[in-house]
Amino acid sequence: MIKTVQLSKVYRTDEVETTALNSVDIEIKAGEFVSVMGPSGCGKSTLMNVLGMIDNPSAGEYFFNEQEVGKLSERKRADVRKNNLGFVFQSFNLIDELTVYENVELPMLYTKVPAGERKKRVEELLEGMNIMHRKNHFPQQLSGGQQQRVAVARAVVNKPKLILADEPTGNLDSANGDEVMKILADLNASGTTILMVTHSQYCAEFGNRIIRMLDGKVVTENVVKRYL
Amino acid sequence: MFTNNLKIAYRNLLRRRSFTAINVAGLSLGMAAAILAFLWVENEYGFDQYHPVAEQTYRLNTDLRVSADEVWHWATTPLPLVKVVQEEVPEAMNATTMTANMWPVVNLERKGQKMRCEKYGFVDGNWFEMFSYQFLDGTAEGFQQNLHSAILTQKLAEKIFGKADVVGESFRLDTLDFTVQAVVENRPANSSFDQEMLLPLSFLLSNEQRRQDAESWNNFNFLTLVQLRPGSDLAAVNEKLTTLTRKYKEAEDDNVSILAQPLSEVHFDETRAHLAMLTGSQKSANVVGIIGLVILFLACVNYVSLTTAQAGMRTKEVGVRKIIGAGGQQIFKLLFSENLITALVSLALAIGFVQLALPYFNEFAEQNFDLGLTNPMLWMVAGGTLGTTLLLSGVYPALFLTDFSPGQFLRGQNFLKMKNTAFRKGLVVAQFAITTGLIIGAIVIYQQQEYIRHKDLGYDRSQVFEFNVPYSKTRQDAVKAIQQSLTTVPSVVATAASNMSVVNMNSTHSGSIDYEGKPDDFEPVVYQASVDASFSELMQLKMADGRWFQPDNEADMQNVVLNEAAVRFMKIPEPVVGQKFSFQGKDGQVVGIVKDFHYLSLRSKIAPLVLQVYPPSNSTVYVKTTAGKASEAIAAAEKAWEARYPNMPFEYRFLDDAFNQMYKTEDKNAALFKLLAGLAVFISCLGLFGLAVFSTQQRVKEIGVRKVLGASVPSLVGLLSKDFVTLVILSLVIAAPLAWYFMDKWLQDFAYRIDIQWTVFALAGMAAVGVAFLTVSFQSIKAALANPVKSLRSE
Repeated sequence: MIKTVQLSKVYRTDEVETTALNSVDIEIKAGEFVSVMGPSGCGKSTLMNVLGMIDNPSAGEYFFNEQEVGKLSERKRADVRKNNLGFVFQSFNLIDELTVYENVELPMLYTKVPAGERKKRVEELLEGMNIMHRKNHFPQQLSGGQQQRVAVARAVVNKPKLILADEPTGNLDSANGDEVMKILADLNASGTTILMVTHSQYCAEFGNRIIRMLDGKVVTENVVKRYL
Repeated sequence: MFTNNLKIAYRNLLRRRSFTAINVAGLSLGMAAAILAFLWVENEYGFDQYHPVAEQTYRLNTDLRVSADEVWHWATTPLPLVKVVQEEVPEAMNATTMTANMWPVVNLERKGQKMRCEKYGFVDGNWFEMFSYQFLDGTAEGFQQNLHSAILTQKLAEKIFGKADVVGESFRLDTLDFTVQAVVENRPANSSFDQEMLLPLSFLLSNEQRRQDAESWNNFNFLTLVQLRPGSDLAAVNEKLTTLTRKYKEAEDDNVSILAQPLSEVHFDETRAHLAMLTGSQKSANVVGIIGLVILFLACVNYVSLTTAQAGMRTKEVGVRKIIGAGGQQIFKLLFSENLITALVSLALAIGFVQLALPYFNEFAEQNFDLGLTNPMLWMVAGGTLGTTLLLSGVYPALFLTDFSPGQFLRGQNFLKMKNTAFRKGLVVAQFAITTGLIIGAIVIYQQQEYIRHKDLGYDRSQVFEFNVPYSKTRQDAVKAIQQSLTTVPSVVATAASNMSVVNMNSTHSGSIDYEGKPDDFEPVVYQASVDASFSELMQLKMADGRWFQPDNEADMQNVVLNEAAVRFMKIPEPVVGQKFSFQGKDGQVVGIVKDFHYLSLRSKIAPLVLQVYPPSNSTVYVKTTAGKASEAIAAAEKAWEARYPNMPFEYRFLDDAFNQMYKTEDKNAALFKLLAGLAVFISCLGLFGLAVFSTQQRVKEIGVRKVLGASVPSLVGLLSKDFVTLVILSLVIAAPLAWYFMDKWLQDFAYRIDIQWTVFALAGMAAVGVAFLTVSFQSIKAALANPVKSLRSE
């Protein structure tokens, strides 16, 4: 599903040039759950942004579903994004002015899903995440765990092929974190590809492969061994 | 999607309610001012266009060449021309005529109630075919046949009778009874013809003497209006009219030309201003329009700078939406809905303001705009204002927020800090440059007004009132008798008479002047007035040489007194006093030279003036009163008046008022300008206040840290205010030369004017900086006094 060749990203300000990604080659197959680990500033989030088509790479190639997408315009990237990708962030990034229901519904407005279908999908998801009773609340009125469940619901509502999760449990206590990880694992089990950035070894092991990064480079890749 | 956008926009506006309030307040005030200004402009430019055949209607004007380098421009023609046009000019489909102010005022009476009417005219039978009047009661049928009939506006009918359904009822006009033939709706604000009473021309012509005068080709006293066939060749029509006029006038000289002028151009033609028609100033209309736009611009600048200032708060929302898949267009629509809602709410408020302000506006502008909510004009202008506002303030902020990449947001970059501070500073500078410019303008206008009001005019107008004695064959005796009866009144210091008010002796003469040494090819144009022997002393004129006219000196009936300007202009050989001087057929001599005094508006230089004594034309009586006894003197004058004119109301005015009346237009324009300058200051400060609120919010952490490190409150206030005050000073630097240029140009219209002093700029600068500082310091002090523990915790 994803393949990068010598992928690099350089940020330039007036005086400083920072290499956030340095010739990264990775490959992710459909149905995988890949965790990315590494210390702060190693380029994890940049990798997520580039793979999530939020940023363009400075050099190298990026194939999504065997199509080169690294040099697309923002407009085309937005098109690919809204039909294929779902995002979960550490700080949830719910829109404060929208209710729980409206936040989850939002991506479908941009993909022009008919109203009846929208209602059905939002309610199914909220039911599944066990937050249906809070559908008319605003994000500030929810706990962190609830907010992240809403964010996950929003990420999957358009049935994306790939979910990009940037430290989804970073702002949560362990109980809530566990719950979110289980939801992600269930999604993966039902066929959704997941790429997750995390600091936590525990969370990383929910996936089936761990990529470790340092100074913008991939240093190791391990398959997670499960001992049951 | 659309309802979703509206919902979000509504929630956002509500969440930031203080900013929304500032935005709406500024915008609605600006819009209200703009709507009123645009209504005015629309009205001025749309004069007379409501008549059904307006586009084909032309006024016939006369150009009369009086000398090689002087042409007189008149809006009137001889009466017989209208008939000639109908019969001999094939391009003309219809023609009509009006004459007005045959007498300056007429006196009306109904059941002992006396009143005056200045707005009246005599029209012929075609008048109502070409011009639109809404008949409320009665018709124009048979108007010309019934000599003593009148058509009144509703307003005048109500003034005379106390009600409007008065067809068939009668009232007295001077010495004759007239019957109301019809009542029409009040004249609309955009009608050149504002007569409240129309009388049949046939009545005027029923007097043999008047008919002979009127039908002479040498008297140009009638407005002639023609409806031409569509596609007529105007040059050819003018040629025909001129040829025909010259033929019938039996003039060998070709000094008269007739020119057809489209009705749409008549209103702004100030050179041919005529008492029967309302003339407007295109320049004033344009200035009002520009000021309306400027105020709207200022209000929009507030909106733009506040909205972009808050862009940082929207980074997350816009960023998330983009990541989820929103396209630029969708984001633009969302943000634009917010601007649209704000603009619509402001417009609704603005229309409310307009409704509230309209009576005052009408009184001020002497208009009768009627702007019910069903009036399409209101909605047209409001729509235009809304469009302008959205263009100025809706598009940019939306584009500004649309145009950023979501990656910036995820990297934690607040793009507010990155790009638009310079732009916003530019907006504040532009706004305050305009505001400071307007303040400078207001100060200059005020100073010029004061200068005019207190300028030594060369005569003493204090404690003098004047009144006019109406024309009659015995007027000379009446004037004398009234003066006589006042000589014994203790509250009256003196009386005098002249043929027109000393405040504005605006009558020129040329052609009959002769004196020793006058070159043959020199035909001087001079101002002229008739006075009496006591005029000089009452007005406290000063003689430069010779003497004033003497009472009971028969020879003085032939003599003249010149002003200094006249002596200079005509280059009369020395010694001037005693020189033979012929004037208007009288051969006398120059008996004195009076020192120059301002007998015209201060807009013009003191021009050559020839004074003579011609008692039959003297109609203005002056009464100088002892200090504090004015009311007794007025009572005495009224008594003397009533003995002579029991049927006419006694109307007097003090010269001070008459003088101020002459500058009424200037005073009004000045008042309007000051009002708008005040509004501009208010709107600009509103925006500055919003920016200050925002800027201190942004710097809460900085202020907290500085306080912890020991910064004093004054130093913090200084720090926070400094930026804004610097911007305001910068705008002063920009505004000063521009304001100087425009105000100096404005002053050129006055022959007597102030010099613009540097103190004006200092004063305006101090005012702008002071107001800006006060506005900003309120926020700064609040922020500086806040507990740093709180502000640091909240970070």
